[in-house]
This record gives sequence, C-alpha cells and structure tokens, in this order.
Amino acid sequence: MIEMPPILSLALGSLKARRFTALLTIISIATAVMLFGAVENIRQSARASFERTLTGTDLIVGARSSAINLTLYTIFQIGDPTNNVTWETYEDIRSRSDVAWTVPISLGDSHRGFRVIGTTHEYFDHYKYADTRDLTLRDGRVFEDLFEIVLGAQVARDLNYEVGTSLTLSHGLGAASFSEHSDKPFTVSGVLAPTGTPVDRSVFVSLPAIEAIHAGWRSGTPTPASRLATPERLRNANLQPKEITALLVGATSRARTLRIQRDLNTYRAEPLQAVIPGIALSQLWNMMSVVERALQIVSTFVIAVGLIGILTSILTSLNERRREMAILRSIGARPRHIITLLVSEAALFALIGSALGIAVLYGASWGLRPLLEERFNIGALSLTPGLFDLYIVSGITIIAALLGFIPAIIALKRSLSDGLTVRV
Amino acid sequence: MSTETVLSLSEVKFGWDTTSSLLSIDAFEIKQGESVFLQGPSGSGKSTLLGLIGGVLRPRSGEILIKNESIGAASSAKRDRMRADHLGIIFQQFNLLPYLGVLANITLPCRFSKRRREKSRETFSAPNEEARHLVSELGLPDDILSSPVTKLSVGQQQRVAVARALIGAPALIIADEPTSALDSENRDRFIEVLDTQRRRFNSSLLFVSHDRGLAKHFDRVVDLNTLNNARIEGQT
Repeated sequence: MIEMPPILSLALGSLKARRFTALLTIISIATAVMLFGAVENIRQSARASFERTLTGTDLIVGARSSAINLTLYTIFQIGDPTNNVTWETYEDIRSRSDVAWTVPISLGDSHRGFRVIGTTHEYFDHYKYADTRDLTLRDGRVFEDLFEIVLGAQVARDLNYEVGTSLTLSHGLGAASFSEHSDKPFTVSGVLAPTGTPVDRSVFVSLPAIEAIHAGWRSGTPTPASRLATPERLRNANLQPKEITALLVGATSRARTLRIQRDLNTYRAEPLQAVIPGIALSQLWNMMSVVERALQIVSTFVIAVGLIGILTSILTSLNERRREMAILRSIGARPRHIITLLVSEAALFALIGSALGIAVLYGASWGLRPLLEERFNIGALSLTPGLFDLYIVSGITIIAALLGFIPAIIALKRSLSDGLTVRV
Repeated sequence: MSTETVLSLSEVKFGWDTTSSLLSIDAFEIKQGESVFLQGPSGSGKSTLLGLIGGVLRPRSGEILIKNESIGAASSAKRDRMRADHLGIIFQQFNLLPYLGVLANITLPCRFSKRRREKSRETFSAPNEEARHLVSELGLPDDILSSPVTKLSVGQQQRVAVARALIGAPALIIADEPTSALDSENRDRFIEVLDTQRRRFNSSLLFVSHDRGLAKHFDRVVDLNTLNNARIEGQT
C-alpha cells in the first residue's frame, strides 16, 4: 500500500511561491463571494421581514380598489386611498359575531413627510409583526389627551423628537403641504420601539384628533369657521368620525376569515374590499421579484467571473511550471498526483477566497450593525454565518475543483509528451 | 562486485508511427555498480532512450528490464512505481522545486516511493537523517538544508539534485547532461562527488553527455550513434 504523498502541502507551497498572483486571485474570489453573500442575505431577510410586516390580522378592509393598492396605503403608507368607509359600516363589521376585534385607520394627514394614522388604542394591542411580536413603547405612553401623538421609532430618530416635543400636522400626504394644521399643536406622549416595519415611519393620533384638526374644514380646505374651533373648545366637542379610511379585522377563528371576506366583498351598503394580508404581501413581493432576480443574476455572474479568474491564474502558471511537472514525474509522481496537485490548488484558491469573503462580510455586518439597524429595516438580517454560507463556500470550492481539471488535464498531457526532458 | 544486471534492453524499437523507427537498440546492459558514459550529440535519440528507460515512453517492440522486471510492458501505474523505486534522475539544470526547501526537495522521492523511504529508514533511521548525511558528504554546508532553493548557486543546486537522486539508494542513477551548466573545474569535482557517493550506495550510473572529455571518469563508454541502428535501418 503506497502512502499518499502530501500533495496538499505541495499545492500550498506552490501557492505560497506565487503569492502575489495567488493573493489577487483570492481577493477576487473573496470579493465575489462577499457580494453574493450580501445580496443573498439582504434578499432573504428582505423577503422574510417584508412578509412578516403584518401578522395576526386576518383581513384588511377598505374601499374597493385593488388588493395591492389597499395593502400599500394601509400598511406601507404608499399611494393614496381611493375612498373611505363609513362609520356605520365600521360599526356593522365590528358587531359581527365572527369578528373578534377591529382597528380603525384614518389617513390623510402627515407630519414632515411621515404619514399620520388616526386610530384607537386597539391598534397598539392588535398590530403584530414578525409572527407574534407586539408593538412596544420605547418612551412615554400612548395618546390619552386629544392632542397627544405617538411617534414611530424612525420618525423620532430622524426628526430628533422626544416625549414632550410639540409639533403640528399638515393636511395631505406629501412632504410639501400647503395647508398646515398649525393652530392645533400636538404633544408627543410616547415613542415606539423600532420594529423594522412601516410602523417606524408613522405617527399615531386618536380618531377624534383627526376630526378635531379638520373641524370647520370643507373639501380639504379650512373655512373661517375653523378659527372658532380652538383646542379648548374641541376637547369638549363631539368628535365622532363619520368616515374612516380602512380597518384591520381579526376573526374569532381563522376558519371564519373566508366567510367574512366573502360577505364584505359583496357588502350591499357600500362597495368594500377585504384582503387577506399574507396573500397580498406575497403578491406584492412577487411584483418586486424582478429586481430580486436581477440582483441574484448579477451576483451569480460575479461569482462566475471569480471562478474564471482562478482558472486563468492556474492556466497562465502552467507554462512556467512545465519543469515542476517533469521533476515530479521523474521522481515517480503519478498522473493522478499531477491532477490532484492542480485540482487541489484550484480548490484551495476557492476555499480560502470564499471563506475570506464570508468572514469579511460578517465582520463588516457586525461592525456596521448599529448603523444598519438604525438606517434600514433589516430586522431579519442574519449576522452570523449559517448553513447557507457553508453551502456557498463548499459549492464554490467544488465548482473550482471541477474547473481545476481543465489545467490539470492540460498539464498531464504536456508532462506525458515532455517525458523526462525538462523543457525551459 | 555483484554481476546482477540493473538495466537491460534487448531488440528495443521505438517510433512515433509504425513505419519508421527513431530508436532501435539490439542490446544494452548496465550491471550493478557499473558507471556508463553514454555519448550522443543532441538529436541522436537521447531523450527518447531516457524516456524509455524511465518508463514514460513505451517501446514498440522489444524488452526493457529494470532489475529483471519489465518496465516496457508494465501498466502505467507500475511503470510510475518502478521509476520512483529504482531510478534517481538528475537533469541538466533546474532540478529543484522552487517552492520547497532544500530538505523537502531532497526527501521528495521518499514521499513517492515506499521502497526508498524504507531503505532510508533502515540505513539512516529517517529520510531527513539521510538528507543531512548526504549534504555533508556532498560537500555542502549544513545550514543549506533550511535555506530556500532560490538562494543556491547552480553548482549547489546540482549537488542537491544528486542528494535527491541518491536518497533511498535507487538501483540506477540517470544523469542527463548534469554538468553542462557548470564551469570545467566544477564539472570534474561534481562528477567525482557523484561517482564516490553512488559507489557507497552501490547504485549504477548512466551518465549522458555530448562532452567526450568527461568519459575518463567512467567504467565504460557507449556511443549512442553506434548503439542505435535506427538510421541504418532507415537507409536500407
């Protein structure tokens, strides 16, 4: 039984001797793997966090438009509501025996680009994200007084607000609004903890507050009567809303959801639409999957370029290593040794390179973690290497090893024709 | 001295196609411990003959025996093993792997041949020990073992190549123009050292060169042009 010579140590030695080009090759594969890993990580976590934006809610109900549009404006604060839902309808849905809870949502105002959600305390009780997580307050408490406001985490951070800050709301959903509710200032009563969902970019007031700031308004503009509506008077006024924009519905059991949905989609008093959030969210995601696919393709090509780099590096080294092969053959190296040498060199390039790439990727995300969490909604971003990264490293190593057969077979053919004569 | 035959060629013909022969040798033998000077200008079929003896080429017909075992008819795995076990080969120049140290270069054959590894263990306890011994016998400084190959002079490199060829006492040392890169003074010294050392191991030596002036160092001189009948055959 012939002991296998430590070809791996020869391969390592040979890499060391060509350390400059070897380093460049390793850096190129490391960069490729880093990019691929980053894209995959962001892609997967984006999908995960996106699809878990709203959980625990069985139906989103609003005026009839499209499922995606309704989801976009109630949950993501994108796009404009087409129509409203009357308070009578809201009461009717709320009183159904198969409905466990409802949360009203009233949209139409903003503060410096952040949308205002008029709602009730039930919003904070029933809004769940990332499976079963509840909204929690980082500071203060939910609104109690008519002119109290609760801020999403990003709003507070971006605008540098805290509990006690006084602010006014603007009419309309855009950042540049011409009608201000400047006569009715609000005080921040609480700030929510970050969630990685659009909640972070929202501000919350009570439903009566929405009525209050529009007291004396008609068709979206203030009338002289609005001046009479001072905060003091409003606190004692009847501020029962006539309309809301949408509502979130929780059924008494999952099985009842479809019946409620059917009933509401054929609601007679006004045209309604009921949407199951999970379905709408994955529909939305599929719309964006073109971008996802494009990113994936680009990063796959970057990997391919890295692998070709390995191949090029070994192929160009073959000429100057003709002598090395002849020497090895002369002392009894078998064809399989020559093949093993070059294949393991390719595999070593890939292994070292991709492991380095993964290490740098996670090192960087650890280092930048606070920054990433502050700036982006990436709650689901994985910060430690996982099974997937193991697959990347081993997959690339295997592909590189297979590619290594190309220079290996060329070198072998040459060494057989060179025989025991060392050519320059 | 033993009269065992280390290398024997009989009726060996070789050619790249079936119609003409590059090499045709009726009979050629090297006995154990014998040193043979094979003279031949370039183009006389030296590389082909060495390829045949080394088992990287196969004869079209005839028999090549190394220690009474046919290398010409063996499987490629067997030929590679016979080459590793029985032959020590020294090239003209650049004998060493640049990325290995001197010690690793010398002991390399013991990694590929179990027979030579064990022989080295029997006589010197370990290949590394034998390498140390060879280095001092070859007149190289002791600290050379730890220095990188690239720091060595051409003469030193050739001596390290001799150490590598001798380690584990192979039956036959083949030296292919090993002195062509050396100046004349070093040339004679090199051959003397090579000859002394291979005698200690009782290894035979096939020394190939076009330089007739070196012939005086060897037991026997053979002219490849005389040995090879291929040209004559081609004319008739």
